[in-house]
Amino acid sequence: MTPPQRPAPQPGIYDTPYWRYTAAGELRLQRCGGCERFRYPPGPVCPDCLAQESSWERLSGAGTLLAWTVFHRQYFPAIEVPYLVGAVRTPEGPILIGNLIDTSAAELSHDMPLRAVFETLPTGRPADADTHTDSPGEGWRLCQWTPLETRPLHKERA
Amino acid sequence: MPDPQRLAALRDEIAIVGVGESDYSQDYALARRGERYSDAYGYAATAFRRALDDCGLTRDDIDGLIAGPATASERLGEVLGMDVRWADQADAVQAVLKAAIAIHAGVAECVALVYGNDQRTAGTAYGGRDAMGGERHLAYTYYAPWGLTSQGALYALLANRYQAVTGLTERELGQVAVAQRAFARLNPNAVMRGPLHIDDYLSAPYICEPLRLYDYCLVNDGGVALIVTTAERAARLGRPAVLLSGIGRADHNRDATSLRPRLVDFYRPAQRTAAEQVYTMAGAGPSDVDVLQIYDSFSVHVPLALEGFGFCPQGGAGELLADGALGPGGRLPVNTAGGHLSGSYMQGWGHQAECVRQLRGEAGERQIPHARTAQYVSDVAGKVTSLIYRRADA
Ligand SMILES: [Zn+2]
Repeated sequence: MTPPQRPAPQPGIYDTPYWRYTAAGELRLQRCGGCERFRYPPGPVCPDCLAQESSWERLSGAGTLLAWTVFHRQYFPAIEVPYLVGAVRTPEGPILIGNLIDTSAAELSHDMPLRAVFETLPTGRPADADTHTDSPGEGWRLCQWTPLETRPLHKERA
Repeated sequence: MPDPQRLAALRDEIAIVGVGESDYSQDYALARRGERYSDAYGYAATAFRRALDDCGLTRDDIDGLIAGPATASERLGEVLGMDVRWADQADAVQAVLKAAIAIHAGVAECVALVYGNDQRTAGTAYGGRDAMGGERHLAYTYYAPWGLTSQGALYALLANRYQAVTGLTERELGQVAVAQRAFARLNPNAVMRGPLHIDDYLSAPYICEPLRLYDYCLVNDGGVALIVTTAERAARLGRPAVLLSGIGRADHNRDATSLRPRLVDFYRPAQRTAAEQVYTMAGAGPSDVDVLQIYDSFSVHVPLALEGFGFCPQGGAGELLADGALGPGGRLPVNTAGGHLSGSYMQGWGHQAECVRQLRGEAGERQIPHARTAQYVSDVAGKVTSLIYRRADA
């Protein structure tokens, strides 16, 4: 029997590049070709200026902790409780969601500096994975966040 | 921009003349025993029959129908045997707005607003891979790879930040659940009627920290129906009518998936806009409100609404809560039927029925004396809406 898998990333034409980049260990988001603002989640036009042109630009991997919650109820068989989810404000603008790893709730404080790290986890495949020849296949890498001060082993910087 | 003069012309022109609700408490007991009593259409039909009886109109008088989100208006028309001249589908607050607009425009004169939901026995998912609503609100499903799911978790994130910004304590937030349970105990049709002390609240397990079991709404089956018509026709019925005096609406969808409206703005800009509109139209303010109904899928909606609509200064909700202002005998009674937390989770529809019962003086033991003005406030996922109702003779 295969172990339970994390839920698959949202499939779709706008999101596929995001997951392709994280699979390669890069945090990139769409940046508007008109007003140069980063946007998240990916979409067809810039919500600020409605320009359709955009490019996938790399983020610094820095962030600050806007809010967090500790899950005590298990919603997914593959994700055991308790676990931490944080909302992270990036200096580039977008707020990103990730698990807060190599830390604990007691060590967290609002607006503390964080950095992005990539974690390889077994997740389900998005429904359209097979239509992309460069699909990363088995494991997906999730962009996670960890306190800036700690230097965990086996993790690479964004 | 909304036209204040046109809105003013709509003030007190539309009336709710009938309300009907299913037997929440009894049906919940049946569902707990694994006995399926009805489905969404069945609960809707129960409520509709009762609302008709309540107002004295007959089915043939109804020429408009609005179905709640869990039923289709076409099928509901078939089930209830009605061929109307105008029909639509809406959530609670939009249903009242749409009915008012349709009647004002002349496309219908008597509109039945009918809600039925078998969410408990049907096992509707509010979290997990197939959480409902994901197509409207991407944040409900988008972050599943990180385990972020359920509307409760999104409100937990909000509460976490909000507590840091305003200093609201867990004990103060707990007073929402305590106050609403105290009202539910006075409502024979409330689902949860056991005593709830603040110590019970604080010793209950977290679901998504900082939200605990009692910060979460119930999930139960039921139906609500409202009969809406012109104030003129309402007066001819010779029964106590409740008039729609104010309407406020403002959305906050930009950056919704990134949670910015929740975590940075706490929905305040949209609440301020909606508050200004509803109070201007009604010619009233927070101090005129005798009974307040707040959409409460989670307790934290309540302090947000209190601050956003000017019932206290920003950051002042904790003090109001600590004073016991919201419960029975308090100076600002909120969710007097027990709300979604303890009364019945009818997704805002029951809150409209409770406004009507309070203003007609028919709320039994939980009746707020001399209630003449009632307000409803909801901020569901950034759709901020408010309605003000007045007693016809007020
Ligand atoms: Zn732009």
